[in-house]
Amino acid sequence: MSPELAHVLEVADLWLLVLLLVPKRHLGDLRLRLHELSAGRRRWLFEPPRGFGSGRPSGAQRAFAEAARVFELGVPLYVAGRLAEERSAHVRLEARSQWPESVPALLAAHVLGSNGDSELAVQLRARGLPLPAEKVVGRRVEQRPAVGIKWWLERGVDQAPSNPSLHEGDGVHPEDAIEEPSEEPEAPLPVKPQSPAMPPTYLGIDTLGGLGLRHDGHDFGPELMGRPVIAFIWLYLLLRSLTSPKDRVMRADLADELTPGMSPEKQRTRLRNRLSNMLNGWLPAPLAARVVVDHDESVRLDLAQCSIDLLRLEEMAAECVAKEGLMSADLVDAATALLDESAGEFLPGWEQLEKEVNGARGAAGDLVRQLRQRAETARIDLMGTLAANLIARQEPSRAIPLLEQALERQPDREDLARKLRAAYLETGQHARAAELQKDHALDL
Amino acid sequence: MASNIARGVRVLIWAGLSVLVVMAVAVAASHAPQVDRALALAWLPAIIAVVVLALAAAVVAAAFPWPTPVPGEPTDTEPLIPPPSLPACRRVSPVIAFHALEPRCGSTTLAFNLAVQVAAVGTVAGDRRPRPICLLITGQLTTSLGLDPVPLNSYFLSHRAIVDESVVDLAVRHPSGCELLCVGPDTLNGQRLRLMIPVLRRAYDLVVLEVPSGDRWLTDVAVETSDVSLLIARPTLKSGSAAAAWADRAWERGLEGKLALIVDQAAATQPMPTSLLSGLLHLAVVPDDPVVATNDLKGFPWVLRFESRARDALARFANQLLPDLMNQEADRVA
Repeated sequence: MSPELAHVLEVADLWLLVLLLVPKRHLGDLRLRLHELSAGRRRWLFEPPRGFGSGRPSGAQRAFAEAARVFELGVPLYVAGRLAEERSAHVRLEARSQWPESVPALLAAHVLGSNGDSELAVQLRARGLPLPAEKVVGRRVEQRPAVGIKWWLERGVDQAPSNPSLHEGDGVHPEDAIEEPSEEPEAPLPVKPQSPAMPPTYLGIDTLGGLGLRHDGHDFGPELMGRPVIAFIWLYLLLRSLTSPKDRVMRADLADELTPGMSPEKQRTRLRNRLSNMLNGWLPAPLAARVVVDHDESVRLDLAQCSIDLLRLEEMAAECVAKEGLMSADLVDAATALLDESAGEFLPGWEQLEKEVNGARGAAGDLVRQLRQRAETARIDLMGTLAANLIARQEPSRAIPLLEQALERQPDREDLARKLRAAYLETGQHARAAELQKDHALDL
Repeated sequence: MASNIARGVRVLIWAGLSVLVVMAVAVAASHAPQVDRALALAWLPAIIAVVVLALAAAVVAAAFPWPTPVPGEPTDTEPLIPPPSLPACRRVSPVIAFHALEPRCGSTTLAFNLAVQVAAVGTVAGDRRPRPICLLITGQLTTSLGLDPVPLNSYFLSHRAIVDESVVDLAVRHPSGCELLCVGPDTLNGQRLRLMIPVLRRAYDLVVLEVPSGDRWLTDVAVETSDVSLLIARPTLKSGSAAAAWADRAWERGLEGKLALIVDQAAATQPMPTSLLSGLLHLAVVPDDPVVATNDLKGFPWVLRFESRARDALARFANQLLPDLMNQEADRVA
């Protein structure tokens, strides 16, 4: 053998060793690949060997494919990779054998209709597993009569902060429920006997807890309610004025609201007759004077020199919120009194009137709901500011009942939850504070 | 195909390199006595080592022969799926919003299957299954599921100013335990979504929301009201540019912590554009999976199929996203 050929063979031998040791793949993600393999989330370290899955390869084809992998990965990595792949196959086989007993597999059979509800329930119970959730039923939240603010304030430190029934029940104190009979929603727009002092020329419009239309010491509410169609028109104009003061109510819209589903001609005729009746004696004069029929076919209520309890409530809420915590004694008295007066729902019984007049087919119900929400928000704001005032005056125990009721009525108010948590902490009720923090996911 | 070409190129490079190295060292050995001596000393141990290595490889290859492929076992190259890095939602009744970065990127099917996964294997306080609700945009999957967008649309037409608890009655219960609401093209807007989310949160343990794209106001409200917004992308340049725009806005508004990119349909043969992977803090990858398309056509949740590759990725990101709802049982099953 020539020395040159001997040298070539020796070098080739060494080079073959290098080829068998050194991997020829990018190894930056090798650790992740091995980890995924050992967890059974991958089947192959890089890719399946050539010929895998395509029919039944011959022994020679397999040997060639494996040899290619050996040279590509280097023997150490090849051995490690094959061991990890075997482990992955084992893990996957085990997972596959356990799968038919798993919840997803049982549910899959249920979704496909192989097993019914009862069969699924039996299978899950046998494994000690909970059943899938039932259909959620919408909770009918009725507007409940608000509890008088005086009762909450007089509730004191020792009585109810830790009384769980307040959270579990409907929030109405039994005594109050007896003393203040609940309003009957069936009765159309109950009349509210209230008369805060105001100039005699003013029209006092009370909408919260019942309808009151007071002018010069006389309440025209009952008289108006005696004529449902007239009352509907007048109140609809009031609703539109309250929700969108700058919008005009066109006659066509009003006619469509009053008699939906009729031909436009009949609608206009009926509305014309009703407006004529309203302005010619059917409607009490102080109320008729407020109805303005403009030349541009629009109708509106003139609310100048009116005192509307909803607006008073909102103004008071805005004024108290602007104080940012500390309020004067007069303002506290005024806010408390107003809160107590305005405890009822906005136009209770509107639904009955609407049903009677147009079969509840109009859109006025949405306006009423919107205004009820506004009133509720204003009340909650007032309660929150009164509570903040009490906390600022180092009386957190008196603030707690207010905040509890406010938060119960509007559970999404994170600001109230924070105030209540602070009040709990100040009165040493750490467990309740922690519970509240968890329920409302408050950040510290 | 691309893998075979790469393999061929690698073989050629290494073969050429081998010839060059062997010839060069052999020539050097002929002229340098030191190299000659070193070769004389090394060749025998090298031969022994080569034989040992070859034997080891042969033993391992013989000991672990190829298994017969079982249905669902990958026979092509699998994409490498990095572990998901998603923010954890720990609020009671969290809201997860899905935003599609391009059409047909899989946001509907991911939203639906996430809700099913939570309903199937999650628990609330360890003793009952969660009640998730999933709002899906009308499309092929909702048709397969038999969902109709009309009830929700009619509801909003009759409830202009308020959303009450009766909206819950419109949801259709899936046998897995999650509930589904179909959203028509123009059904949702920012105001309606803002009104609806608190009601849904009161009734359900999880709200999964697929957000229609194209309405900037609605998108902003969805991001604002959700705990996490998942941007569903494909490994394409189009998704990359959309993700970059989202990332810019997220960093401007300080929302980067609640945005996560989900790259769906990731394949080993389709590298991800670098623009897709930069800019957002959170990322999860879902592999391309033929099981998804076939099951979507039937309206069946692929997350309940063992052979689905995407199932495992979805289960992992669900565990990370909703640690309170997805418990150890989910881990064990997954």
